Amino acid sequence: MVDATTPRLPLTDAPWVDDSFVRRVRALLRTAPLHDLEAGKALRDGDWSPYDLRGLALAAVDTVIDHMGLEFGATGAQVGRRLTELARMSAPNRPIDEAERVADAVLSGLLNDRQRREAFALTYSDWSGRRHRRAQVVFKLLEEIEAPDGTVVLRATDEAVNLFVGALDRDIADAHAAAEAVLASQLRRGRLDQAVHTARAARVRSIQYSSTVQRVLDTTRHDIRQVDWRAKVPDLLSDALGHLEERLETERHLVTAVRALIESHDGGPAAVTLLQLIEDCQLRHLDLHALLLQARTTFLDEQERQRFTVAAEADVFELGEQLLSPLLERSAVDGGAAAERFLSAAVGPLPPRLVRLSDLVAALLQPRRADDDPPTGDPTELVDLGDDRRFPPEAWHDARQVMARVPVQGEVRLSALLRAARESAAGSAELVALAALHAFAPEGTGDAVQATDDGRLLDDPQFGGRDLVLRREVVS
Amino acid sequence: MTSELRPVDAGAAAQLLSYGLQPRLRPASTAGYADLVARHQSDVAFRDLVDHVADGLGLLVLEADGVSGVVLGAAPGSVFELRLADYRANLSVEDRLVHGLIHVGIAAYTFPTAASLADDDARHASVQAVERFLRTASEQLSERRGDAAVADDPPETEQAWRLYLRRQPARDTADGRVGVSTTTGMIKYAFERLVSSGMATRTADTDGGTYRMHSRYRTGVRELAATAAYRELTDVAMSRSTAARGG
Repeated sequence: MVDATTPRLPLTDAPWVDDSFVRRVRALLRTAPLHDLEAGKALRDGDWSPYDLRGLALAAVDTVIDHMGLEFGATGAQVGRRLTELARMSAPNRPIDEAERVADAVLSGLLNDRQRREAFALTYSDWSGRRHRRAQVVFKLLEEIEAPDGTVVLRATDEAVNLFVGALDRDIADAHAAAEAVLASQLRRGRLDQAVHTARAARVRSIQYSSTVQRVLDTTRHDIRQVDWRAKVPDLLSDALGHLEERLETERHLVTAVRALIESHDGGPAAVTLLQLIEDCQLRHLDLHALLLQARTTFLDEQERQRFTVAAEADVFELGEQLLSPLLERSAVDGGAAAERFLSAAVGPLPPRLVRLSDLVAALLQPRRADDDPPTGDPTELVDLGDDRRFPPEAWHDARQVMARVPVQGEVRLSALLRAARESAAGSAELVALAALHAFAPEGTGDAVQATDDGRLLDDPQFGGRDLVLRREVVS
Repeated sequence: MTSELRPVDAGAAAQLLSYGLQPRLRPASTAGYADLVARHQSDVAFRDLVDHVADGLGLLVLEADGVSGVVLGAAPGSVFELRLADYRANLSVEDRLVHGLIHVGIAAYTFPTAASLADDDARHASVQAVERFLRTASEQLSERRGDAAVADDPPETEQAWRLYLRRQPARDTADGRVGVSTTTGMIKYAFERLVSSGMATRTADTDGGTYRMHSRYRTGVRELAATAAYRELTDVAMSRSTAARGG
């Protein structure tokens, strides 16, 4: 394909390639992991010649994409079961565990387990600038991600979806339009089975579209500077909006067409499936629409919020080179603090005295205590709540001093004693008041201080009642 | 969206943080959690409130999303900070260095490139793989630096790679378990701690124990552990060079 912008060079000029060459090479390379799988099967333990690993790999991607609808995605076990079935069909006489090993190998190859699940990186020659340049294509096919419910599911990347759908060098939006167009034409020609297949692909496109926008919004919330809100994102959003309108329009027509088919009983069961798929597509589009409406506000809010945030630490961090290598050469003296800081942050915050579920379960599962056991109070119920009503020794001391002022000859009023007590240790005023009450209504004998009530009211911020008169009895 | 905040919102903010302190809870399976996360994502005023409450408690909100929920980190010196004594009792200074090194090793093995630290796919690591990874790195340094005799040096000035190589990868104990002071034992301990703090799940017994690292682990490493440790390293280096110039 040569588009209008590609400069036309005279054919007599030395070897040259157009832009589509690079796209085609890159598309071709994305199938390389499948060929590697197939080529590597001779090295496997046992004779794997009956198994078509390339075909199984493609089937694995199919299965994953089929589940990428309303569910979160396919689990490794689901895909493994499907591949095992397929592998068994190609070699029915082989033991079942061999088919399982084949399935494992295919999945692990697609995830690039051999390189710790890093992206595949392949180099190729690019002559498009009329000179030779080595370039690299970096891609993933399948990824494992955490689903919101905590399970781990497989997800096909855009590259894998393109590989699967066969639109090797189109961008998302183009491929989307293409899928719809194909679907419409299949409907016109009455080829419903094909149409169901295409509708599945269209649904995946819808999901892909939403996730692109969602990613932009997530990044914006995280750090607005990583997103180009000046040109790229507004373009993306307006493109997405334009396409949405088109899609909703097209799908409305499709739904009408398929409904008509069902009513005339021409469609068969495939038509019902197709209708459900298209309706699901519409729901996806409406989701995307809501997302797009939210985008502008998100941007404005985040711009406001992040205006004053300090530049974050460098976002790219090479753990091996920047941390592990220098730390290996440090000793406890000059590297200990860094090592401990990492450990503590990596393990995460530790809430003080967290009840562990395992302890709790163990406690609950303990056999019941025999009935004749004396009831023992749970020690945790007897916690010291700090509500200590005892008077401190200083208060006792000071209160005694104040009470000692009660004269043998003559008398003193409670209000005077309270005033004196307030100048000494906290709590002594209360003690004095209590002592005065005790002197008014003594229990037992031997109390030297006597109090009498002459009807005068006590004027005190803390205590109410009568201003008692106190005098000391001389003990004979 | 920005809302007027009321006192009840402080309760909601604290509730969200309390969910974050229970890393095994997930928004999808805990009533109310998802709503609070959604509010945190869309309501800027509420997010600020959560940040401030966290700040007052000595916590950092590293990330909040619908899958993992709230990922928290502890500020240095906060009551929530994991201390080495909580990690494992009675460690010598060299032990502490090696335990820390092992955690750096697990992270560096799990996320081999800067890009993998920014991804969101699930990564796996195993006890044996991390042990081989750290041993190879230490042996490479040994070849490059040579085994110049350091017998007289006190252990606290000995480099981490020497300390690592000094330890056996494994030693058979009578009951068939891995000795706790071997590197394999220490790595296994590290993984199990990560499991109990909700950072990983044990997926298989192969390779000494294989673990899937959760996305909150990646967040913690990327947003806090890596930068904090790196800053410690460079601070030491800078104070060294300043001291050298001054002296």
